Amino acid sequence: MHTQTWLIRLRWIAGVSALFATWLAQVWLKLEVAALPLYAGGVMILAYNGLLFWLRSLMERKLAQEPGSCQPCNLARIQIALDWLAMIWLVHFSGGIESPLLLYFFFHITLAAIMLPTRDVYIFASLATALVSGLTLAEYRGLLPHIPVKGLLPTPLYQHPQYLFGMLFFFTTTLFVLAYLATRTMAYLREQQAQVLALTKRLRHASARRQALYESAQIVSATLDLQDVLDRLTESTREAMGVRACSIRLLDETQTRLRVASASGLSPEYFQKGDLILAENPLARRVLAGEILYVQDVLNDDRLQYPLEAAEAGIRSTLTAPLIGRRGPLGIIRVYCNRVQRFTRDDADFLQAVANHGSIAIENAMAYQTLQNLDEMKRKFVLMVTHELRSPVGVVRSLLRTLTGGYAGPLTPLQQDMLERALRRADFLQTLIDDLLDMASSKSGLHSQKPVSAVNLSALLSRIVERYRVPASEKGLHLTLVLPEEATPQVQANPEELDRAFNNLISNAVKYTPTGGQVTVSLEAADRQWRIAFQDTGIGIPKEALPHLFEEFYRAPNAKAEIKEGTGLGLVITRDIITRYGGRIEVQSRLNEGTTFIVWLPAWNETQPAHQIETDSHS
Amino acid sequence: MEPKIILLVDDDADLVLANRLVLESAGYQVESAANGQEGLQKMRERKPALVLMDVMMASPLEGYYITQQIAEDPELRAIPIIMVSSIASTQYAESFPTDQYLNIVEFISKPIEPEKLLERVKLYVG
Repeated sequence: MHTQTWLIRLRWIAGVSALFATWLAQVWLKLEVAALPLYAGGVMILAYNGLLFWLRSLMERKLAQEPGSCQPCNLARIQIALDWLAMIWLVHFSGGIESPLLLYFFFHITLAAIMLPTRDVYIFASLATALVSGLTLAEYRGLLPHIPVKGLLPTPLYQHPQYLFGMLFFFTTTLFVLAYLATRTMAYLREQQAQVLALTKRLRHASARRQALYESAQIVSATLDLQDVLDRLTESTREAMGVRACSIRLLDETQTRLRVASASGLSPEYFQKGDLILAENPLARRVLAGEILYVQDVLNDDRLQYPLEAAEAGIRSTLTAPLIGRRGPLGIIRVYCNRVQRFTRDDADFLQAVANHGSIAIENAMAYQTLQNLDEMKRKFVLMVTHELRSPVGVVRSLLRTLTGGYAGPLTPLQQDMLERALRRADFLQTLIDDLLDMASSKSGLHSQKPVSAVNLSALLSRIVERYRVPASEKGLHLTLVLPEEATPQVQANPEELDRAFNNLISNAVKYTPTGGQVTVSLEAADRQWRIAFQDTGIGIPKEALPHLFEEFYRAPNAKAEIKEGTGLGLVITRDIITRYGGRIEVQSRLNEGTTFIVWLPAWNETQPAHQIETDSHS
Repeated sequence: MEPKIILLVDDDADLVLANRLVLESAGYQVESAANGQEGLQKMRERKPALVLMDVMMASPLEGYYITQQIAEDPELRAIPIIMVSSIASTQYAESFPTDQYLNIVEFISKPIEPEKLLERVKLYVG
């Protein structure tokens, strides 16, 4: 289009040049020219150029409003045609076949080649040949007067048939050869340009798709909420493929139906038509088997379950890819287009790539959802067990304690002994249940709800040690507590939990230390921590058992031989509690010599800011 | 001297039996109720010196709702209540409103050792 503007600009110069050249020939070269018609020619050129200029701006405005409403080529044809007429006019008044202006036709054939289709160029070349030949013939035969530029040629040539024939022959051949060369060059350039354009378009397209693929890959890790994953996938696929709509259908629990899980670009009403029933839908079955399928025209495809509904919604073609997880098909992803036969192999490859990413994301989200449901079930189970399992055992113990305590009347020694054995078993069961509950609630995060406060370690340890005074002395053990002089050795914890942790350690020490042994509990400051040591001269822990000590249900073989009942959970719970409050636990032991458990807990003083305490207690 | 009356409100008859034997051996008179409403009624009839109230009966917080009704009754409001629960006491105390007007003197978690039961009861009743 801009070449035409350029041509109009050139023509102003041409018009002015025609006027100037005439003046030059007449005044300066002193040639006898038909000045009036030549000046008229120049003015005529300027006049129709003005008209063309006006037409052109009119056309530009129209094109801006409705693209494709008129053909710029037609204006180019008018331009060249007008130029041809102007040229033949000027040629006629400057000597016809003798005129040097004839050469200017060559410019125009080149311009025509730039602006017009090849066929038009040859038509114009023929037209020029016809005009020039016609003019020459008319002048030769005297049908038109011969108006030479007197003084330009020594003899008039327009009456020499040989010259005329030669001149016309070379004029015509030059014109056509030039037309051929120019059109071929232009065709080559146009082809190159088209290639570059196509390449640019493809690159832009590819880059948009790469971006979309990147996004769909990101979805895989961005969220674990299933609905969120599905919605993002349909949305981003619709945008990337530039289609009307995109939907994802997932297999239901029975694996016989495909239910809409997310859609972008289609109304919810459209999907109320129902599920895709696999038994009635060969297309869906084939897609689930791993094929990617086109429907090029919904109205002419009997594989569709709802062709009329689709057509009503304005959908004409669809492309469907399978969503396949690690354990089989999950569902399908489908894109919809308003036009018939819209999809290409490229689209299919792209949709398949999106589906592959999507499948992973969907499967992850599904797995996460399952886990969350399991977690919720576990939470409920723990609460249920708390009441349903714990309370009957508690009642059994209460009844037994009432009996062994003599509250229900005197017992024979045999009865007493048997009831005490029953009570010990019930006690063990109680401990086991408590330990299991503790572990279960710890794993399900119920612990985080327990209130923490400043705990005075000296007071706590004194209280626990006091609890074991009687059993220790009954067993003939020395139980010693060594406390620092400081008044407030404080840590931040839930007092009951800490009690439980320390109780386990002292209980073990007393349990596994033979008569005459020594159990020492000592507390001392260590940097910004409190170090609590539980030292005994007991049976010790075999070297090979040490790495397993904090494993659930593990009990060292010598401990098992010593005391039959034991849950193997006490140390696990102790370590859980200690680490929950930012501490750590260590064990040193020699077989048959004794064991020392050392606990470090971060010291706490009330001047510390509250938030720091909170992070400490959760780390 | 008239023996002091202790009211056990618990839907678990076995537990009531065990606690009754323990308390009776120490010379208390024991009354029992299997649910909150019955407990409220027994309180009005017998004016016990102390109530041991199970938190979780037919409904999870039945014991708690009954203590609220007790607090609204000027004749019963002064009777001390020990709340008994199968869930660890502090965990429970957390979710329990500590309104001043509720005469809950203590939370005890099940199972209650006979010695401890007697010790606590003696503390509040004498």
